[in-house]
Amino acid sequence: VWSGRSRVALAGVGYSAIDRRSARPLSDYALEAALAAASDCGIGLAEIDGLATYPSAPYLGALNRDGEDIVTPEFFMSLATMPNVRWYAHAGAGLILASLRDAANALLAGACNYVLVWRAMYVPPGTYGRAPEYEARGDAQFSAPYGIGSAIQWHAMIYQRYLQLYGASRDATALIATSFRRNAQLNEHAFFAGRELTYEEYMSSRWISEPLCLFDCDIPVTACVAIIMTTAERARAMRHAPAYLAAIGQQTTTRAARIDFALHDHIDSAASLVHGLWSDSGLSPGEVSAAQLYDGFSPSVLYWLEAAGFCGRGEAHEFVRDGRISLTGELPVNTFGGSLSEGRLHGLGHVAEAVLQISGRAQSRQLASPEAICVFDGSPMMRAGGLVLTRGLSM
Amino acid sequence: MPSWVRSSADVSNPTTTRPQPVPDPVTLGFWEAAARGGLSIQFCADCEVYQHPPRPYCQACSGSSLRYVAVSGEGRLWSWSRCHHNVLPGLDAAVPFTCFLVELREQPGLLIAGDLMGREDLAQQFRIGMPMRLIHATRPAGAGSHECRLPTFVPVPDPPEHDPPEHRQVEHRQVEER
Repeated sequence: VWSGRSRVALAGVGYSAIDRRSARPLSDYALEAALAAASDCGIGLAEIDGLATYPSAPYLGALNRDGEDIVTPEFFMSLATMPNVRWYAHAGAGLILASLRDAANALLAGACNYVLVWRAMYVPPGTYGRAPEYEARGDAQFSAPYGIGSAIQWHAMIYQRYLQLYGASRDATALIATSFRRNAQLNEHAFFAGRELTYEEYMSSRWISEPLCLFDCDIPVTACVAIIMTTAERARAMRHAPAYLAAIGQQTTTRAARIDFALHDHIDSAASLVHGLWSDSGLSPGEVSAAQLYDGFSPSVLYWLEAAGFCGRGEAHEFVRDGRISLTGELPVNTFGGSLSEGRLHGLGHVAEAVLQISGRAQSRQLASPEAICVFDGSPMMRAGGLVLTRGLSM
Repeated sequence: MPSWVRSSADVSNPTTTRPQPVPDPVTLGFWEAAARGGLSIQFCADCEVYQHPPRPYCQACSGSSLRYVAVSGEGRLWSWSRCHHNVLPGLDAAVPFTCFLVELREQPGLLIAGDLMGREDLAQQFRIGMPMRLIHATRPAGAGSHECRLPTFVPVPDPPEHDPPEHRQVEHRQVEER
């Protein structure tokens, strides 16, 4: 069992504006979010002594220029207003949960006292994720010549198979997309706040990669979200109720590295992460009040519901019916709208929402006294991480 | 159905500008076999396991006794997608096109990608588990590129109306056991 249970807390949350494309440099968004997170928990930038992010742009053809389309720890370290940084980590694991884990372990080791964790996302001009190269190297030799150049095509093939193997229909993802969009109407930050989505609009939207349509894809945004992490002891002295980190983990199954994202692996692949999270936190799926599940593409929600143990294999398409995942349902999922409706903050928006809910600050979408909330980031067929936050100290 | 689907003759790739594979020392055996009109998959002589895409080591035993072994070119359709959004150079005019994964008969879970190379009508008969067979498409040499033969797959001619019931059972059993 991880010795860090309830010894680290997520104390502050900050959002920048969430825009589609913008002439403002991305560093501006990152600074806006960092200032908001620091002031949310009542500290100044000068008190931040740890920095952690996964900075990479998640699409082909990125420039990867600091402050322009990515924001690395070096950006914050270059600021005269943040002179006391003594620890930083630049995660390459492909997901922001790795940065939260690194920050937690650094705090437990005494390497720093207040860690700023952020995810800054940028939408380039033109088509998002356009591959510039005619030459296919590495594993792309076996996909790009066949027109496979985007993660959505792998996700589409998996969902096609899921639908047929389990006798499911696109109603499952329609329920997910419309449910999250309803939640987003209560989230002032959400990109799609003020724009409802009906079942009919979902069903008549254009195909991207069948059976996935436009509203199965999250909305890429230019934005940053930031979190301040500190020790549980320090967090108790801060202005909001802390969200204690009961467990945090990463997926380590070797099969998860396969490019084919084989569907029959979605539960096995996640097993190392899921078993670790439930045993480290001392909790079980039945004991969490809500789940924030990564929804870069909507079917991932189905795979997480099954992989995390909320329902059995092949059952998630039935589980999401009857309002079960709505704000008032048995297991509210993506209470803030998810990446599908809040915007593509790459999983850190899910964490921010878990903190706001646990500390009772989720405004009109606030759940009644949530004791524990889990977050799963990434895809169980690929790279993934997860955490569990609790309102009280879990023993 | 046109003759090329039934015969083993090459088809001409209608798009000459799609991304071209650049073989490396690990993958060279695959592309050499493809150029000869075959399909060879990396195989570990020690633990007798196939793996694809190729790796410089065996993912089952971490050994390096890997060689390329010719396979049957027969398999079953694992899944597919009709793609309406393209991010790759040279394929904008091809949308919508259908890409797919075939599970080779040599080993459960041994998946390989392909696409219909412009024969979108064939996608209408697609069903998960249906038999597929190997063909090759030739990408003609262009400015700065050499001729390249791409292995891909088409439905086996005259497939039965329905999947044999035993095949469906195997599919479900695999899913449950893994």
